[in-house]
Amino acid sequence: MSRPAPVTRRSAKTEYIETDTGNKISRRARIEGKQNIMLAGKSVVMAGATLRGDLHRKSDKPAEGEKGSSVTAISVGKASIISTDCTIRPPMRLSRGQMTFYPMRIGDNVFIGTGTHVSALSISSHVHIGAGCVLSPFCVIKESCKILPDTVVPSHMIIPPGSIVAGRPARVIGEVGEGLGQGGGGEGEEYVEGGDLRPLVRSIK
Amino acid sequence: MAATFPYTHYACSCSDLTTSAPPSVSAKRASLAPGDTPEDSTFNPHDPRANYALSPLDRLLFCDECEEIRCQRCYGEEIIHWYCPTCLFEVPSSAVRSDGNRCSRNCYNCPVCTAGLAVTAMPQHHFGGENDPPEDTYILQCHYCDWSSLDIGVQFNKPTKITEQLAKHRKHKAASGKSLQHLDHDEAFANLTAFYKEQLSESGDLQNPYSNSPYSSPSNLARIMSLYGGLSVDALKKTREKPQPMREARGEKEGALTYSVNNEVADDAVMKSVQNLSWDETTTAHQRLSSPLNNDAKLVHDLWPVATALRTRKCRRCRSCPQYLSYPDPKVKVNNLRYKIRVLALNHIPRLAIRSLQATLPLPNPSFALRAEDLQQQQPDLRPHITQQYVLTIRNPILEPIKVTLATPSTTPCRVASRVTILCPSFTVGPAGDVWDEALSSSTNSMAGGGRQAALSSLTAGESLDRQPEAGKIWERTRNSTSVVIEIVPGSLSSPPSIVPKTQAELEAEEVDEGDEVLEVPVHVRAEWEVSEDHDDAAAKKGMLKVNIDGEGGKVKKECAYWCVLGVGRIGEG
Repeated sequence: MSRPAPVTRRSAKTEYIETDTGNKISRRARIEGKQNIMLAGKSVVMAGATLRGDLHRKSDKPAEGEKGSSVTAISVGKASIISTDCTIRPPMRLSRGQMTFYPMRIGDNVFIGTGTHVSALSISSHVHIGAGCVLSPFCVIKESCKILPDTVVPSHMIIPPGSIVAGRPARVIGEVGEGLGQGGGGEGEEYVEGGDLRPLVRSIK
Repeated sequence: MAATFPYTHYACSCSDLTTSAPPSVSAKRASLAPGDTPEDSTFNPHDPRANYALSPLDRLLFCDECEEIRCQRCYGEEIIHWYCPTCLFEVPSSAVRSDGNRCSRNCYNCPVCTAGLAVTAMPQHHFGGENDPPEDTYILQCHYCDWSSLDIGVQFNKPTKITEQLAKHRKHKAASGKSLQHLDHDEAFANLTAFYKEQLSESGDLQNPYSNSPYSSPSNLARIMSLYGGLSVDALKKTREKPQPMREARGEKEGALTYSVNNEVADDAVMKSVQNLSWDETTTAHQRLSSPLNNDAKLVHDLWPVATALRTRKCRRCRSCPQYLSYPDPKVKVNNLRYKIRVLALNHIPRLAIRSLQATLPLPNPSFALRAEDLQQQQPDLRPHITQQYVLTIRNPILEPIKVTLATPSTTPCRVASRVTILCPSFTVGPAGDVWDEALSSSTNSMAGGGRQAALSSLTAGESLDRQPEAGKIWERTRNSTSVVIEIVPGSLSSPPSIVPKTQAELEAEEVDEGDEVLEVPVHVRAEWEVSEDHDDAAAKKGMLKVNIDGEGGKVKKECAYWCVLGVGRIGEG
């Protein structure tokens, strides 16, 4: 007599792993070096996104008996959304025969559109990046900017706060309106670029 | 303007399309015939001038004192500070003019592709056994298009003070290879200004030459002179020359560039080089205009790196009253974007949003496309002659409940006439409150109806399946927004075929212009609300006396009215 096999209680595999800080990471995202990546809270990494946390500066050798501190390669702020098929790779520089990587910082409420390549040194808060963009290594994007789809930002470019940027190579084509980011995100309201992205994060399932 | 449907644009009252000029002004204007702009004219969004009156909501500001919307034409701008976009350094306004509105530090742009130039050290090759360390030479290199300063033959000894080194190199270049070349732009300008200043002082300028002397007129001077026995009057007259008329510059010393036909050798050389050129090696107008140094450059290898142009941070003031509408914080330097004062229209006027009745909330927004497939989706065209129902949501940002009246012409005023009906044109919207109010009230039910019935309806079918929109009833009400239903029947682009053949003029009139197939509905919104006197800041600012009405704490009625245009969609072929 055979006993019935114990019922395997397997919960249906959801698309996203939710951490206790509210981050949603897709199971289909390709993440390397996950101990070097910090997500602040309520951020989303969608399917197909590649995060290269393994490219980090080699920390100095710790003295005996001390633990080596972990090096953060990528740090992402609150309520930021990294859409499908993006590539996030920390910028690297070949100086004096040695390849050094620099840590990348992404701010709060940053929306990165689908299929973009991000190698920027830092992206400040409330930035909206369109689909298919390329942010070359060591570019710096300041607050409340709007990057239109399919732009290529050349390396080492600094984008001043509050500018609208487009083209290949990217040029500042205008300034953002004063009301950017205000007035959206309530219940039933539509999402506003540069505004609070938490409702959008909540709706991604 | 917005390319994605649905959108809402708001019209400022500054244009002639929305309000006619006050009678005092229109009586003076001869061009404004008295019958032209009647009162209560409808706003035609397809009018060629309509685009200048409409703005999306994030560009509109609001003046507290005048209590009116201010669009980009109604506010004046003043520059607070100048900064370089690359180094984010603030430049004092005194230095701006002398630097020619450009950064004087090491920020340069590539002349070919306008990306930024980086100062890079040239790789040095060690030949074994050298005692002294290799000297670093630096070049400017564009990472985007691989142009570098080696293309013009310029290298630097140290990575700082690029401006000086560049200026030195340019002088060298101008000095060598000279003889047939023309004057440098800056030198020519300096020579010309000096020449003209000289001409002005020499030629007769009609100032009174006697204004500074104690003798106020020539006759006075002559009289005194003859008294004291100086030169006689005739001798004086001879010595004073007749003022020469102003002449133009002649020659290079005075700043004029001359071209002569006889300069064949130079022309032949240029023509020979042009024969071997490719199109890419010539400069475009954009490259030539990028900096004054490049204005004469015909070939790409004559282009000089362009110093980055400075950008400004501006503050905005209402034109009628000198009230600041938007003032960025000057203390927080250029790195952050924070405002000291910011009065936005979207915090003061009711906001409209339109969506299809069948669309699920929240609407798909193409700028928030999360997946590549979402990008490809095009919104379907509207089919003519089929009634569509839309939900129009009014959101109230102020702290008082408002009473809203909507008005729209029954057919849209453009070539493609669509019929529009608002099922409930007059209703109230609740006040916006704190987040706590919202949290507390959402626990009790806030759907249409309320209480048990709403709970039942939400438990059973979905909201939109069973409910039918009824005339005179609002569709949905939340704490600070109300939704009503609009029925729209899009018109058709082509008129129906007729039996009688049409004349040429009629055929031309029927051609669909660009933009005609966009269905835009003009709506006039009027909101009224009451404010208690204590809170009436605007009146207090104007210094109006408080009048006690009926002995109670008087309530002041306020209203605000504006036109707005709802973009609904594109009409397809029937």
